[in-house]
Amino acid sequence: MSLNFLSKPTVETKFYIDYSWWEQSRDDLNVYLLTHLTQEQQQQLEARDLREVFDYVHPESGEVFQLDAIGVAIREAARRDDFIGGKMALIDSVFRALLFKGNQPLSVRELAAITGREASTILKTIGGLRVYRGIRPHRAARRKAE
Amino acid sequence: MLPAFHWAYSFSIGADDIDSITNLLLEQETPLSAVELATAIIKRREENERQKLKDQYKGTKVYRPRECYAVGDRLMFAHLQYATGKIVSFRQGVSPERAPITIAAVEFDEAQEHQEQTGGRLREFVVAYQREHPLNTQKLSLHPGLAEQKYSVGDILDDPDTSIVEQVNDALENNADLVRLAGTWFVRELMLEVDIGYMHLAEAVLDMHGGGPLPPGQILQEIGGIGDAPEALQVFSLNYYMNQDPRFDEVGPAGKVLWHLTSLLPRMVMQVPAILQYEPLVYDRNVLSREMRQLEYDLDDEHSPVKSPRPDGEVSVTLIFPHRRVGTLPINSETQFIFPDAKTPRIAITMVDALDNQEYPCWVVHEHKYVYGLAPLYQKYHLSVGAFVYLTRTRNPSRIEIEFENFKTRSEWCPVIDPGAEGQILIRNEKRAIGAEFDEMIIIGVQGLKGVDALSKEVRKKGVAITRILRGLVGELSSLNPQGTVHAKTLYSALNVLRRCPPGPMFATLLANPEFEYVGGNNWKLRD
Repeated sequence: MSLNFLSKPTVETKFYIDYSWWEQSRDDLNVYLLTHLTQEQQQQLEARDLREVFDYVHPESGEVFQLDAIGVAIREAARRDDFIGGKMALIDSVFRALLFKGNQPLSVRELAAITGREASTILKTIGGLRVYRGIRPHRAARRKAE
Repeated sequence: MLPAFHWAYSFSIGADDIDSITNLLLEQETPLSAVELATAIIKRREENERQKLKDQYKGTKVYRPRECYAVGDRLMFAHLQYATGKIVSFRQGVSPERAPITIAAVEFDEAQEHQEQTGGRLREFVVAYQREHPLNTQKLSLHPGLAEQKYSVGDILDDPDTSIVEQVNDALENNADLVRLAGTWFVRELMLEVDIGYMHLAEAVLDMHGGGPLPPGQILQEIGGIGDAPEALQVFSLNYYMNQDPRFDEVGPAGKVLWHLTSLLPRMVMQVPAILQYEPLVYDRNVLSREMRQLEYDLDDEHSPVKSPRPDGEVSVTLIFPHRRVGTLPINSETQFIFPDAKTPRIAITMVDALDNQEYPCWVVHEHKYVYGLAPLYQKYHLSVGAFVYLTRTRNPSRIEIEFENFKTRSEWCPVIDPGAEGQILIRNEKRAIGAEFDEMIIIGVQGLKGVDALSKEVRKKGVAITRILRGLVGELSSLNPQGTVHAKTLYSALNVLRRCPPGPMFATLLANPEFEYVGGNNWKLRD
């Protein structure tokens, strides 16, 4: 690991959801993901097999993603106008922004634009040593910037 | 305005670019400027980029979810920054609504570094999709690089974020096979041989024109040309050979070649007049007060370390004795923006009298910070030391307008330096004929130029200390003033009659020597 990897993130640093972090975490990813769904969606999911995998067609690009029932529900939820913003914790807001973009790495500046929060506040929160909800700097993006 | 993705922003000149422009010079057998060569590179790159895009998009189909495709079909994804890829397989899938769908696996063309945008090399897309999808009805355009260009080569060259011309010059500078003269490049081996006979003829032509300056085209015409090669090549070759011959001096401003016979250049252009020579004095600038620095800035001596912003229009200069004596103008922090620049040590210019449009051939000597050739003009208007001179650029950088606030010659009182028989300095007020507005604190006359010249020569020869000269001047000049003081401006003007010295070292000497007393407002006197 180069020393550059340890360099401090900036507003240009891209972040993403590192799902492997959840595997080590005491928290359950599915339980957390359910909190981002509406009551109605949560009720619908109760009747389904959560291990079943579907081919989800992206409504804008036509690209196909293999997702489980929660993944599909999250994608559907992300299309709602009120999915991001409103009164919610900053970390939840950033997490939703990344879900909304299909976990495409986003810079702090881009996250600020999507969530309507201050970039400096986002950077202070997710740019520190502690990892929240698996949101981490994206290595590939950082290597490119270097 | 160039598209944001334009190749010119990341342009780096390569060996193939150098080869192509060398070939161009060989093919055209004509010297070309860096701009012309850069233009050729741009046209070539634009064509290459276009061809590359044409090849990439040749036979591709625009991806639309409703369409049916076959394995091996090439697709273009407009919404993924016009990425292209090939269908490698199909599979049947199930949508979240449990409807069967057909999915194509697409292998993208992009190299590894672009995979962040395309999200990996192999990706899946729905095809033969019967449900509504915006991509089925969206109007999808061709890659913008294939569309008609909305910019010109000039736009690329003028864009401040591109550096193609600079890169061409830098790269060719290291190429021993090429020669650069007056901003144009040519292949050394293809230059015409201009033998000594042509050089003699060129010398004779210049001699007939009083030494010059003449443009190479005129010299070429008068010597009857060099063979039947293109004129541009004849000019380039003549310039090259004249440049190697010490008989000729290139005196044109930047971008324009003018030749002059070295032997017929004015002596005061080849050699700095003694009266203008300044041997820098070491002094501590920190001792100078704000008031003194302000005066130093106002006087704007060409040897003072002052900087001025680029002036918008007219610039004024106050003549001091050395410049009035030898008919020169200083190239100071402001006038440097008025006179043309060049890599050559001497530049021939024309000063135009704004009052009667009479022209005066002059010489800019940047290295020694003066412009020579104005003595006839100064004499014509009876200009005194301290006269205000106004300079204005014209559209032609080699033509500068010069103006004075002249009036019908009248007598004015001014201090006059009279070198005594014993070599001492005597100063008294006398009436002198003056022909233009002047600074009352700078004006100073001399009694007997020969005597003053001899005294000045003696001062330089013996290396008379500046303190000693100042002691004499402060004593004499303060005696002419009822307050018994002398202003630093007057002192500076008088000091420069005897020895070239900018205000900074003069102030430092006055401050360092207890013989001198500062009485405020830039006034000095000898301590009682």
